[in-house]
Amino acid sequence: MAIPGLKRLRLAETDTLGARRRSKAINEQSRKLHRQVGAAIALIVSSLSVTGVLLNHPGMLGAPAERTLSLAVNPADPNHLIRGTRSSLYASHDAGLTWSEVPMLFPAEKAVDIAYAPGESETVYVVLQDMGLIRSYDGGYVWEKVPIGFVPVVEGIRLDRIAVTAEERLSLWTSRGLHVSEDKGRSWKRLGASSVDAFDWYTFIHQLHTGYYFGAWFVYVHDFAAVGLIGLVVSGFIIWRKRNGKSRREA
Amino acid sequence: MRQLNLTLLVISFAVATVSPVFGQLGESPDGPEHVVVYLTEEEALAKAFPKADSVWAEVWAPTEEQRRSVQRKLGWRVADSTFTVHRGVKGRQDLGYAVMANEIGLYKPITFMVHLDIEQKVSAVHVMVYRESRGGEVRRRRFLSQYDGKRVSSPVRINRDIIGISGATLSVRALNAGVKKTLAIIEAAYPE
Repeated sequence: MAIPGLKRLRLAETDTLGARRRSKAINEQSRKLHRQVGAAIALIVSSLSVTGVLLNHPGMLGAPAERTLSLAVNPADPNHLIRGTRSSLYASHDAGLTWSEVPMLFPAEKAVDIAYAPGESETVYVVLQDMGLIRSYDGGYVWEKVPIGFVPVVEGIRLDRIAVTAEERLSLWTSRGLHVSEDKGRSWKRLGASSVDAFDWYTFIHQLHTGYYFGAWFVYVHDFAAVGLIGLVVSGFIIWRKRNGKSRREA
Repeated sequence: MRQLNLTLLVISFAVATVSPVFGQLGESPDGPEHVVVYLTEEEALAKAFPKADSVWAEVWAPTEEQRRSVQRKLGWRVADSTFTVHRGVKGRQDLGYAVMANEIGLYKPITFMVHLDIEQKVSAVHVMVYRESRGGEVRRRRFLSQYDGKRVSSPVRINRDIIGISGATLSVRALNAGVKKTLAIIEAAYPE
């Protein structure tokens, strides 16, 4: 004898089971998607970490440590070249076949631009990105500091380019705009007022990203974090594989 | 509590990061209260020539040719027209040379004494006056002992024969320059 109530109860039970199964399937699918997205992001983070460490230490890639940042030829002597690198200034007297470091009391680091005064082959200016402007009146043997009124690295200003006219009017382009001197660098005028007070956010963010903002040693802190991230990704994969294998074996 | 600690950490990081952004261009933030005299001239000379019977000063005024030679060696223009060199003797024994140098660190000069032995090698460097709040680590013996034995042919450069101090790079560069300049001057003034 059929009991109508019981049938209804069974039907309701079947519906609940179906909903649970559907919910479990959706759960399983979203978990799978979560794992796949997580794995993809983990790979990207690992790649970012590895490339970040390598970019901070280009020597590990076999890249030449002395990357050339600037080059100038003496207008009166095409065999005489001056080349600026990250660590120093080099000169060649045989059209670039051999190079020797220019002896200097202060290291000419990050020599980003070199300019000869037109018509004056003995007068040469060199822009040191962080340390300031230097010049030589004897073709590059004896140098002196050109006072610009500030130490760029201390003020967070980056020196970029120099242009010299025949009368030695100097135009110095910096991350805070153009600085001009009409009297061979004795006094300077800042032009482009709008950019003068603008903080160089690009350099600031870049240095924060690499860790150089806090000093060269801080790069190793970032390296440590990057290696730590890679470690987390690898250990995450290992744990996931172990759990996954265990649950499959149990199933 | 944990949330408060985290907030404080974030705030201090932000302040430490952004604080150098502000300030007057080209002006030292340090006043006279940061001037520290570690050694007077007499004390520095006593350190340089502890056993000397007599110590005296000689003034060297280079000829134009000597000046050019020093400048070529240094690759740098030398503005001074005269240089004072302290000498010391014990009996007949020459105790070497001592030169007081002033080189700009961050904004202000660091005063220090470079003592050279009779072979014109650095035997000691003593920081006498330091005028800034940052970079004072250069006066530590552990750092200064790196100059011992340097000759005029030595590079005296960070990452070559001198290990720098992070946060005091400009002070280290100033000391390097002063030591190198002293070596070149003594070589030109007292040819061996």
